[in-house]
Amino acid sequence: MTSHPYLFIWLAVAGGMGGLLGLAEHARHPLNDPDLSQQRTGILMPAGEERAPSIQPGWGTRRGTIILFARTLKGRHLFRDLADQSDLTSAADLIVVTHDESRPVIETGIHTFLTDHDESIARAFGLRRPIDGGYPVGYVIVDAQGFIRFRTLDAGFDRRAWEMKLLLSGTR
Amino acid sequence: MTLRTPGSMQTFVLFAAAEGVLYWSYSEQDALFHWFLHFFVGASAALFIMAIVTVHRGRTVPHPMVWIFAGHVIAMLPDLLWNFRLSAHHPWMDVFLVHITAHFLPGRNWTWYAVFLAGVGAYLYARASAEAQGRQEPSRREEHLPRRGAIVGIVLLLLSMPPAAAQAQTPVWIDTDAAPDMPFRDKDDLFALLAALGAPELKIRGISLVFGNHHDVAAAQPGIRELVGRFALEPIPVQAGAGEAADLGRTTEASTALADALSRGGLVIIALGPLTNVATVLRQRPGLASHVTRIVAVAGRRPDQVFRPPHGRLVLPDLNFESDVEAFRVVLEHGIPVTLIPFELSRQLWITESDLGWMRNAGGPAARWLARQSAGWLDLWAHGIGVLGFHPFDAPVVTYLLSPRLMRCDRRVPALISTAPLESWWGRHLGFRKPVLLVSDELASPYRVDYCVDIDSRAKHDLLIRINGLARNAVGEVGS
Repeated sequence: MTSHPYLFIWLAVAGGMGGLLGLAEHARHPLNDPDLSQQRTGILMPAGEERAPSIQPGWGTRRGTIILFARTLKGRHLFRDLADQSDLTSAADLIVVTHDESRPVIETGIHTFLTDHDESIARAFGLRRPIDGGYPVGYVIVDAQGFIRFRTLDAGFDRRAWEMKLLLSGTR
Repeated sequence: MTLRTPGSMQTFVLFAAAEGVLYWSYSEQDALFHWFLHFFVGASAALFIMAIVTVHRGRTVPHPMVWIFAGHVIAMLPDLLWNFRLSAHHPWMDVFLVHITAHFLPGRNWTWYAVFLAGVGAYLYARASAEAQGRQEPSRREEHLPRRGAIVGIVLLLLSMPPAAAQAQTPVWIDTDAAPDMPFRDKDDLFALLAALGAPELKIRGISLVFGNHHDVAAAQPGIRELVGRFALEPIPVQAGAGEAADLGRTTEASTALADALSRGGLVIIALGPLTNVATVLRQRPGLASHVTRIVAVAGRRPDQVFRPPHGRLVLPDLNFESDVEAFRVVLEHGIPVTLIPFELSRQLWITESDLGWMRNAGGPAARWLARQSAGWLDLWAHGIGVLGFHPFDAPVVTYLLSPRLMRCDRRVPALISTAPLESWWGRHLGFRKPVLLVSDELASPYRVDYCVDIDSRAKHDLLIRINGLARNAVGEVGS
């Protein structure tokens, strides 16, 4: 029977790939988006589609803005490489929103700090709730015209300033 | 026959190593998801093409692993640009085997896994058919039957693959008795309207005006048109409708436009005023009832409930319902899904002077305009009712649609149009009664509605942030 060997191959491929896929689904980071298609897609939203909410008086739109959301920054640096912090602040306004009112060890270059006890700021920017159900950790990029161009949950944003710069360059 | 795997062992090892390198390129991404996704997409495309080529040629395709690897590379090309920090993703990158759209297929990777398995099956079937033809000398007809069947099957499978994933935008129609620039008229519609205008989650097909807070829809129309023209994300038609309950059944600009919109597709109707316009459409074209996905209306009460603001003696009417009872009856009789946002829910939200101050200081032009509009209304509540704030009665409708997790609604509760004694002292003693829209599990009624009973205090912040963010970049301001 010709079909049997191929049936065996098909079953092996199905079992192997299905098992790997199941393993990958099982091993997700608890701060990731439950829907992984929304996690760090790298896809810029169209310009002019979704206006960013106003979060404080005087927040301008002279240039792009990166709004970073964290549960706590107590005793931590905002980025693993402090050079990233200065690089980014020269390219965009940095707004840091924390759930617990904490601030990073070095605040140089950060435009504004906000506290978001009731999660209203994260919600207003459309950040989704992570797998563990807690406060979202990630970032939002707003272009110079005041429109949201990118949002994602990202527990490792502190080592991905390159990604923010890449996305910012795409908004210009 | 002996088992021949697709490709030699050496090719397979090379293939596995190359795939390992591609996976490594995602290491910064901590995203197995993307590797699987684009592998499934690229491999599926390659497998289906190989199957078609195999069936067409009648013999197997050489180097199948190379085909699969090439498919994978094409599908993930934008990710390579991203991972090597060369370019962000853009919608046009769908040219690489639907690279962008592929992310959002319902079922995500499990759906692509199923497509991939179908591709493997199609290719193995085609390969088996080709090998069988190599062993036998079939007649021309027998030779073509499995080939044609396989081609038709593969084409159907490819055609059945979904096109671009649709953006989740709810099509809505707003029917409102908003009263811009009318002193001492309720401004609650304007809160709902502005929050909805700036919501990308909603696709507003049109706005119709109805009496309620006022009786001059023609006078309200220019103000609403200017408001929409200034702050809506895209052009939205604004049509004048019923000016009084007696207009129920009479064709107006609004009823015609709403009927046209419904005939083009399903709509959620946000009813911020009496339902006269909606009921007119249902009476004139009852067939359109099935196109109304849901009506979210501001009305309803539990039995024996009185609408009394705190600290005030004043009793408020269930204005939208009492203004046109018959219209509500028409809607209920058509069996359309209805959600009621009642007074008992709206009274949980307060707009205070500090909220208006926040809108003036931190908000965009829309928020500043609304704060100015609301100042007189706030004064009226302070002096007329004795409370330092007002309820934005209609605003929770927007919360219901945009942030439903901030609300708690009871599902499919019996609803009944009945009568109850007037709340006033003389009304009670003289035995006068008024119509009421009652909702309770205890009622015997053929009609069912969803009835929202609780709203999270964060809903106000959510609403005001939406309004504050509206039209940040508008050049001028309405009414300035």
